[in-house]
Amino acid sequence: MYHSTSHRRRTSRAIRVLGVGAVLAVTLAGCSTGEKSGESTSATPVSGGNLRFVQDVFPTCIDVAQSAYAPYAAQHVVDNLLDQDPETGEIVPWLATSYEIENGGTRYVLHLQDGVTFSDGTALDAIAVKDNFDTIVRLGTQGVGTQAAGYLVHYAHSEVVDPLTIAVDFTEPRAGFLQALAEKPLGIIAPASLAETPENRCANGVIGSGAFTISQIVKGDKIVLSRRPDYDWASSAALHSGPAYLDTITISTAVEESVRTGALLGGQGDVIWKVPPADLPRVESANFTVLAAPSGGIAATLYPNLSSPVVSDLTVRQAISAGIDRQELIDTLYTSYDHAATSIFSTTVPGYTDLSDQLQADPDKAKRLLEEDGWIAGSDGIRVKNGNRLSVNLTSSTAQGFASDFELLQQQLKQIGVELTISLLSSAEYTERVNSGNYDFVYYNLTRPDPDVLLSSFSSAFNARFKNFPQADLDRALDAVATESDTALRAQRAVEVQQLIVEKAYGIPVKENITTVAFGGKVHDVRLSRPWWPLMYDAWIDAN
Amino acid sequence: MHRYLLRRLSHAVVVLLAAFTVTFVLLYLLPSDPVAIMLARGAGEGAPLTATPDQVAALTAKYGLDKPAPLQYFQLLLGYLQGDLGTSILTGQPVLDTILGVLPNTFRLSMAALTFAIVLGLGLGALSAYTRTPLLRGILLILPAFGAAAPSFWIALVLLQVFAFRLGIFPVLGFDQPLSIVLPAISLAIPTAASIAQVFARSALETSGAEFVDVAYAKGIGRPAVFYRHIARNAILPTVTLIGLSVGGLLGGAVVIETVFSIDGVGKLTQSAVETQDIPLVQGIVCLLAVIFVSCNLVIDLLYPLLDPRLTDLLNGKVPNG
Repeated sequence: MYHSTSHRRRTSRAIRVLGVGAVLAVTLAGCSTGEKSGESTSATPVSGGNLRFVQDVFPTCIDVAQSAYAPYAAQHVVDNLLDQDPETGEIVPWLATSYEIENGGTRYVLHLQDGVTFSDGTALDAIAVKDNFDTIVRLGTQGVGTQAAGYLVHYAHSEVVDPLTIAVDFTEPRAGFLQALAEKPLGIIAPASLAETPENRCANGVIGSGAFTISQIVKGDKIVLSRRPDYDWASSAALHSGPAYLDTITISTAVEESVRTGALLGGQGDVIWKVPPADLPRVESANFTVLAAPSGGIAATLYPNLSSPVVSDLTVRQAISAGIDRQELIDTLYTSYDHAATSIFSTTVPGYTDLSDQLQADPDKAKRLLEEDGWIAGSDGIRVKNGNRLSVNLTSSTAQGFASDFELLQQQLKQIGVELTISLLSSAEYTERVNSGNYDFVYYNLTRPDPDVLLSSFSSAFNARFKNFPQADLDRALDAVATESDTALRAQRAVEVQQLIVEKAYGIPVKENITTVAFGGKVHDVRLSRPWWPLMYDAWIDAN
Repeated sequence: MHRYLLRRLSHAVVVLLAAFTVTFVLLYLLPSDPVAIMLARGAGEGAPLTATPDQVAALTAKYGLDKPAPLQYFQLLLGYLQGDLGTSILTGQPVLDTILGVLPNTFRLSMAALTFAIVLGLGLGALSAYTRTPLLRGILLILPAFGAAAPSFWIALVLLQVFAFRLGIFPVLGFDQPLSIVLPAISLAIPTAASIAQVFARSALETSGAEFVDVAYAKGIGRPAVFYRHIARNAILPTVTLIGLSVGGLLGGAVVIETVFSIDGVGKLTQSAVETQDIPLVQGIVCLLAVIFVSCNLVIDLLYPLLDPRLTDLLNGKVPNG
């Protein structure tokens, strides 16, 4: 047989080389390249540079008027007539420098700044604004951009009073219109973009008057924004005026959350969106700044289906609200940035009132309520009344990602004798189930920092759940909030409707949904808008 | 030979038609309402539907969902034959464009992964069959098992941690730089490489015991030449079949790898399409993958006679001697 000693020597040498290589690789892996620490920086903003922003998902539609899902790029391209101050929630001037409310709140006259242009050079005037509103309403009737169209419900028409003055008429008083004007879906886009098909707008973005323009889209991967050098009409809520500081913003995508953290810690990303809770300690200890903001709007809430016999019983709903321990949910599953809900609103909605004393965990009270209502504990601990088990079904989609939360709620409710069954479905099946009304509870939050946000969830005019089971007291309270133009009075109405909803458990708020954004020592002045989106107009990077 | 080719082609057409029909039937039978899903998505996460009946009717007519099933089937088939795969509910763009938009990424990734898999697999398999050190052979024969057993996302995350985050050699974000493809391709390649290595090694070891190998040695041919010219060329046949089957799987898109590395590919598209019940898109993807599978297998079938002269003779009607 063929045999060679040189062959054996070659083989063992190969093994030795492999071995050294392996040891080397392991050693190198063990060494950290050194994570960024806070460096001393100048306080004066520096112009220039590229900011690398890492988003959690690439938006399926880059037109924020049609989809407010992952609008990190889109929102820097359009401006609004008014703005909502990120710190105070107050509505302040932007493209419209002043306004009057007339005709008992059905007519809004807005005065526009002079000299504002879209990035294609065309003028942003009253005609363009009218075109915008008319298009939004028209597309809404076709089922496109329903969120934007929802802000303009009861819209009658717009009137171009003069090139810089526009009057918007509604058929009913719409007190929420001012805040709606500050919402990105009502951002003003160029007539050239309005003429595009909705699909094209989704795929390629739109032309706006924003501080940035979209210079490159690599579908599914990244969007590059470039500064607009002639930008000179910043919001009055911004920290500076004139062009943005950053030359470009490169928005990349990292769906897998550990990859986002790794990108930040490894220096391949400057700002990351949605820091995974498990990575927060590591990010903080490496001296990165973490900003957290609640989703301004309705807190993550358990919505009862009033057509379901079990849940239509007020006592059952009140018992469930008392039976869940919101703080335990936060302590067990969430971070120090998260909070239990203290009202149906999150804390950043104008008109929010603290109702935490009604949202405390009180299992004894819950049990007492159920017993008085005739629900007696059966052999397995679940209460029974007239032969019916106290079993409620919570339906959600896997995409929402609340499986652990629901399991904890299930355990908590078992203590008071309520059986919570959980149905986790695909998005499509979930939509099906919701539309057919075949559930007891659904769970979600809504983002819009204005009391009008309650309309889409609680009004019989807008919500399928309440359409068939309208609650007169609720509709009255919601209508009062929607039509009251006086700010102070409207805040009072908002308090009343919150109290009503919590008391009657039309919705059982559980927690505020928050988002986090993290960035390193070289990055400054990244802010979060009142809804909870990143604002990079004022952001700047150290020169070195 | 020509008869063989024609027969294989006709099989391919039948398979494609069957794939199209079965997919259509299954999707049609789904109890879902794509229009409701479409409208709900615009409204926001979890929010209930607030569309009017007119909006629903308009969208239903637009996607031809109100026509009877056989009519929809034939219209769709006709469309497919003309290259019109319908309109995606998810993106509003033509299905063909949507798929072709992500296909380049998946193609690059799977070709890179295939290359790694073949090189790694054949290399490992050859080494384990060639070496005469029992310890080394033992280790090399066990390695494929680890490669097949380790979850691909775990491999991907470990590679990322070491080579991208710590050592900074490879970019983490984006897919347009030349080096971006390396880590995803390796992660995707390892399970396939493991199978290739195993099959090739076993096949080579088996062939090593054949009589003709002894004859070759007796004739004085050196060990490397015997291995390459006689053993490997016989052992490669089952491996080629395996590679052919793997290509289809790799091109089908590796959802896990694509998610970890945020690559916009066929796998992720399929997942979104199924999740949102985007029926035209799912139909398009399934049929396209069927075309790819069938084509790959056709190519492999045609490659066989080139690799093994005995098959050429068989197909030409000649009886092999001996």
